Amino acid sequence: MSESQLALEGQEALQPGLVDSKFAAVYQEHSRAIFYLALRFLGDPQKAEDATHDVFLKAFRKIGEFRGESSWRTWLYRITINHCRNLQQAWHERHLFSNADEVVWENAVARTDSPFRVLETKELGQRIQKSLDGLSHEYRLLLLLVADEQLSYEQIGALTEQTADAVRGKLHRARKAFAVLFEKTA
Amino acid sequence: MKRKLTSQPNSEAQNSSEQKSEHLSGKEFNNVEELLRHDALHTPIPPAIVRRLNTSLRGISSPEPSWWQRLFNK
Repeated sequence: MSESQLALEGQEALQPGLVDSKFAAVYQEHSRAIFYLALRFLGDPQKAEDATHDVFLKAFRKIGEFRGESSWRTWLYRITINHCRNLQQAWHERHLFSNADEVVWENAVARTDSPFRVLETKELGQRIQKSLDGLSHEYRLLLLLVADEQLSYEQIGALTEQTADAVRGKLHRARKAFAVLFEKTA
Repeated sequence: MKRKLTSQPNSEAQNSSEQKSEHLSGKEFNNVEELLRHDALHTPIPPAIVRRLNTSLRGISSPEPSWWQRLFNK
């Protein structure tokens, strides 16, 4: 079974008749990626569930604006990123939260050429979330987007409003920062 | 910069099911992206989302296609 087939296995579909077959197919193909981005970006399963619901509802209402100039995935990611940023902005205004200082990662010593060992993978999700939570929003988002093989550096740059070269440079630092944080969660 | 992410081998896990084996012996990841892809693949989407969407969409009529969509769908 391929990875994409595995991802779709057991996933419920939208009720026929409520939406046209195209939108139903779009939901079926991309909802998992949208939920994952929201989950790891927001770090809260309930907020990610709400966000995914709201993103597809927004997409349904705005479907007339989709001109096919970008892929469905990119279009949905754009809605998701804007939605999640709005949520986080509102949250930060209430909690005055500050992100991790990037200088810490610049000066951190990461044994990047040696294997990183974990005892079990069942808590991998928690470790990944904890590591991502320690990154700046920008680094977190870049890592999540670059992990999606459907996106090019140019598309990631367009989604995050910067050049592909800037994306490459920041990803280098983001990977290093993630590796340092991930090691600490062991 | 890439980092290999691996787990310790565990001989007891070899005869177990694939899923159990994965939990005990872990996996090796060549970089962060690979690790995140694995995580994404093993993170199911909550079924409540589609149920909530079905409920929400019942109250909304289908949006009218724009002029250019009508033009190209003909």
